[in-house]
Amino acid sequence: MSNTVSTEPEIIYDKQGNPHEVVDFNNDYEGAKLGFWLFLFTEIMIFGAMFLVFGFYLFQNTPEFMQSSGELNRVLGGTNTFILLLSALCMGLSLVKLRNGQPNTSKKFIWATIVLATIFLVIKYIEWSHEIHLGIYPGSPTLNEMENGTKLFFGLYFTMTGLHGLHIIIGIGVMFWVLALINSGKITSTDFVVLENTALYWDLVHLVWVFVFPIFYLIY
Amino acid sequence: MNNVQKSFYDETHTIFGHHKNKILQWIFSIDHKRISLMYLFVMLAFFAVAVIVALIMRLELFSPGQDFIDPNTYNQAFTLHGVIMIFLFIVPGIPAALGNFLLPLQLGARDVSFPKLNLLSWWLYVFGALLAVASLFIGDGFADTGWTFYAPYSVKTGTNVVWALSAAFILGFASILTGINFVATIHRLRAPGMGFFKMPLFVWGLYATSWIQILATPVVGISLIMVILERTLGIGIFDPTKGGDPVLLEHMFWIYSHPAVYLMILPAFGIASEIVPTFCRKPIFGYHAIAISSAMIAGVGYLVWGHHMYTSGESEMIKLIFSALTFFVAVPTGVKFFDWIATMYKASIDFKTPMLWTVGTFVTFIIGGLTGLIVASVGVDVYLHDTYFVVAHFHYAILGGVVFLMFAGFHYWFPKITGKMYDEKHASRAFYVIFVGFNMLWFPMFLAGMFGMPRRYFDYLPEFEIYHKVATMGSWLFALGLIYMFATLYRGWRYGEKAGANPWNATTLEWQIPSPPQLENFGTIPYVDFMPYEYKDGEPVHHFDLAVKEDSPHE
Amino acid sequence: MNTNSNQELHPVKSSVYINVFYLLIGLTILTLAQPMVIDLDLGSTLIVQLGIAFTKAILIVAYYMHIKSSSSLFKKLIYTTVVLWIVLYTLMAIDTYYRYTPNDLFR
Repeated sequence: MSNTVSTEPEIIYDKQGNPHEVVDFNNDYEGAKLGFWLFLFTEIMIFGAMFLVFGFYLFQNTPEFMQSSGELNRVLGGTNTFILLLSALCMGLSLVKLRNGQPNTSKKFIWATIVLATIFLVIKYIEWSHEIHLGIYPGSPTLNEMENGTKLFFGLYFTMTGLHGLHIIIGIGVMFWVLALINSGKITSTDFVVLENTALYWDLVHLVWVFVFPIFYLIY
Repeated sequence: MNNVQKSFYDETHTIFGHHKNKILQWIFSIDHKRISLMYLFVMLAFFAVAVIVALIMRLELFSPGQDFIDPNTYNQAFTLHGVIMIFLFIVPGIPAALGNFLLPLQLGARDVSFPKLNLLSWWLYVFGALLAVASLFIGDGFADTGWTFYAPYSVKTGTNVVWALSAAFILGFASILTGINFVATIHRLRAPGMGFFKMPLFVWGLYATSWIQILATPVVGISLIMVILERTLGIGIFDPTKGGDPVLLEHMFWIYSHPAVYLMILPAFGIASEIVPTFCRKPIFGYHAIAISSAMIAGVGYLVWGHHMYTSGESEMIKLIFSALTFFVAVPTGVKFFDWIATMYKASIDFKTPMLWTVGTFVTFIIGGLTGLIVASVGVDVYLHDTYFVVAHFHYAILGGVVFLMFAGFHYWFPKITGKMYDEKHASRAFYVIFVGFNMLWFPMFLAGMFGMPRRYFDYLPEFEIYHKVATMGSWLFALGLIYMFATLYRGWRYGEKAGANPWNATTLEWQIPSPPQLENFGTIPYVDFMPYEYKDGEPVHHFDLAVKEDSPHE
Repeated sequence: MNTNSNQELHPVKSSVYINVFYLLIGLTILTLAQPMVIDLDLGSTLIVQLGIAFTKAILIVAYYMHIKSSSSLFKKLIYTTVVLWIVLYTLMAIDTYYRYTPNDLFR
């Protein structure tokens, strides 16, 4: 949001003559971060609502949920957990490097994040295709034959991992945009709030997976 | 000097710099004042559509049996009326239109925190609106589920539910962006010296509202997405044949949609808190109590959604909890009313049109609010649920509360927005016409509801005919009054006299700059070390001229 | 650039990120190992798993998302959201627990 036009801060004086700075709405680091955090709260509410639905049906269909959870591939899911963990580290380090005045190293870390995110998506794709190959997808004849709890488990599984995957795809898009901004000098070691917010977003994507992974894969 | 200043109608910032085309200068403007006016006009256009749909429904109900629309069209009509009124008119209504205009002015800021996001929000709003309109003309027409989209009917019906749901989702997003923008603005861009408890009360209302927009809207967003997935992919989450639970959808829907009514009313209360001290020429009674009660209503109002579901099969235990919490919301609301009345006590009240609307609202909203307590008690509600009683309660609270106060706000800030003055005599007459029409329209519905007339029914038994006849005639009077009012405002806008910077002798910062305000609002930002609404002997204590920069020579 | 904000931020160090990363790796291994090593019933599994998940979440929010070094406004906002969710979940849990069961009132 911020322009790099650096002007003198506007100062006004109270009756005693003390100076007070007027916050410039065009260039407000704290405000940009606050706004992004508020957006993250909406994301938390979205995923939180989905966890609420999950918890509700887990309570009602405990045996089927435990059984279905055992059928998911823990090796792939676990690998993805580590990949996302590593990508969050890369994203954080890219911010550190940028602020320390090493934009090239910073870009390398963003590229690493993009590669890791892509690997995450590929593994997700393998998982999904395996399940779809078995005939398990929302509304499939095989799934419709099964217990209600199983239908709900896989309905939620595809919805929640799908929504999470969508966030990963959006995140990759944003990172390319950030790379372009660094290249054109719009993100610098003193004006980095866009990269910082991207890192916050990526941490949120990671955070969501921290909860999605155990409740789907590890309740067998 | 006022004549020298260019107003925001003459110059603007856009996202692409300067362009000669006047229309492009509006629809790509990032000036909060222009965005607010664009919101206002689109919103009022949809308000007109929804009023016409409502008039058609009332006309159909004038006499029993089918007259000129068939039952299915009737179902679509009340859905359309609900979706437009809720998602396109009331929810964005005060925050996005009046709030957008006034928030930076009242805070002493030059714009909102994220002007581009503000514009994006308007575009999303228009896009969502077009999506809703488009679904009218495609396939089997508009959704016939009611604006609540309850499963399993919303999963089964053949109408364009997915379109309506997507529209509601996008509109929700627009509303979230406004909320984010406002909270960031209030936290960051207050004029130096203006602490939270020196803000005007309208800002407090907007602050509480924005939090509801941020924290509640996503919940309904995701539930609407799940209904879409249910219809398109069959994920089974709300489909009872697959083990899904429709009551869960009702929970998720009302987690948003009940706070949404507080989202509507809180900024409206804020308008009342601005108007009452101005026309009583007195500092407001209990400033802190009003400010905190806004936050309390937002907080407690978040936790009462279950009172919409007493008959839907939620557990008896939770019914009792929700009932108790609902009664508790009446406490902070009551605080506000007592404060306003205490402000009016022993004041020499100037009954100009904005004050008339506000006092009229005290009557109608009290009826709406107290009948709310009646339906909040579990036992009574089992009897009154889904009857006209609830319809009347809702319209007394929202139409007689939010919309009346919105009209009050229109009249109050009209001179600030347009720089002109409307005709006082006609404006106050329009109020009386609408007020009478409103009560004639909705009061009979309380009676019809108590005698068992169910809502959303296309036909009714002969014994309800008298109520429907009176209500329909009231609706005509009401519509006439609306035309009268908007015609008066239009005449004021085109031919009215120049209003001057502060026609009401009001105290908040927006009145200390010329009307209409210039681009970026303030030449000088004041240091705010005083409370809003400071009057002494019927005159504002502080006078400023904030139009030009202090140290620059006057042109 | 706005002068009053950036300089207040803590000095940025890679080591914090890397130390937290090791902690998170350790916790993730714990998460994976728990069902394989000790076989608990569902309730205990959930407590263990969600306990680890929340620990990870706190680490991520505090260090990766810089809340530990942010102004008190951000901390307050996060507490508010957490409290709101606890209340929402509690209300929903009450309904879920009592609905259609003999535990409900008036049955």
